[in-house]
Amino acid sequence: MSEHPNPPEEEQLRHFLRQYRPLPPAAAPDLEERILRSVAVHRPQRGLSWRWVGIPILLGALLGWGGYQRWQTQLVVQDTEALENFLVSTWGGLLQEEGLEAETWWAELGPEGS
Amino acid sequence: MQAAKDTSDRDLIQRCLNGDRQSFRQLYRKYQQSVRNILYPLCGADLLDDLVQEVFIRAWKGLPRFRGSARFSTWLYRICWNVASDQRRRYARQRSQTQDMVLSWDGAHPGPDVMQLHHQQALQRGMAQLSPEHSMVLVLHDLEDLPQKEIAHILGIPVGTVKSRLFHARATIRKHLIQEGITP
Repeated sequence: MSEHPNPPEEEQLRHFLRQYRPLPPAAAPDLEERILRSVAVHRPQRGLSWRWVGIPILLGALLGWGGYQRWQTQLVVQDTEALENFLVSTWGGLLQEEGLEAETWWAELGPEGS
Repeated sequence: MQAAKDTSDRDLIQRCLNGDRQSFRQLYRKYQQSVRNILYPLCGADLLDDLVQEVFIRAWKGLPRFRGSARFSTWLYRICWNVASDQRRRYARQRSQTQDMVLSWDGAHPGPDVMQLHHQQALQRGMAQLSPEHSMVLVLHDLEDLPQKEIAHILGIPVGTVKSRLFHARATIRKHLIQEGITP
């Protein structure tokens, strides 16, 4: 089985090892039944598949990202509305004051000014 | 022949996954001798049955994780290595494991004649000098006849490391045998 032919001395050593190898003692007569009883208690444990771990994580991440984006959008909308209201009110006020002045400037002049 | 054997293993594994314990019994009968042969030089005789039981229970529990990309035997021998390593760590914490192993080997299998017994015991003492890593490579390659590539896969090491460990293990054994007056 060796990938390369072994030198003769290696083959001799290998032959010696096989001839005088430590042989294990015979198994206890009830070992097979003991093992079979043990496996009856234990069930094969399926590892946590990436599908059962990865998919919930992915879904959670997507939901989190979606929620964050929605929250960001709402903030932007709220900010935009607030800014718009501010601009309208401020601008409107300015226009109103200018309008008043525009409407009243001639009244202040009197008849001699005409 | 090997393909047929592997297909048969795959069938047995599939049946095991469906809860068929009799198929697991067939796997046990097919591989228990190899498992014993591998564990014995590494761990000795005292706890051998318990360790064999641990190997097969771990295999049973882990069957759903067996992907079939490697042979079942390769995967099972990897479990053997893990169990043997765990056992040796437990021993190392308690006492000198080498002494225990030599003692547990001595007289376990007296040979038919004195010279046979002398050679067996000399070899056992020589193997006890090896580290678990070197011993495992020697057992798998020279005794269980596994190719170096498969051994590399079992131990998770490069083929070059398998070659160097094999060279070192053989040199250590040869040196020890010569010291005992044996020329292999």
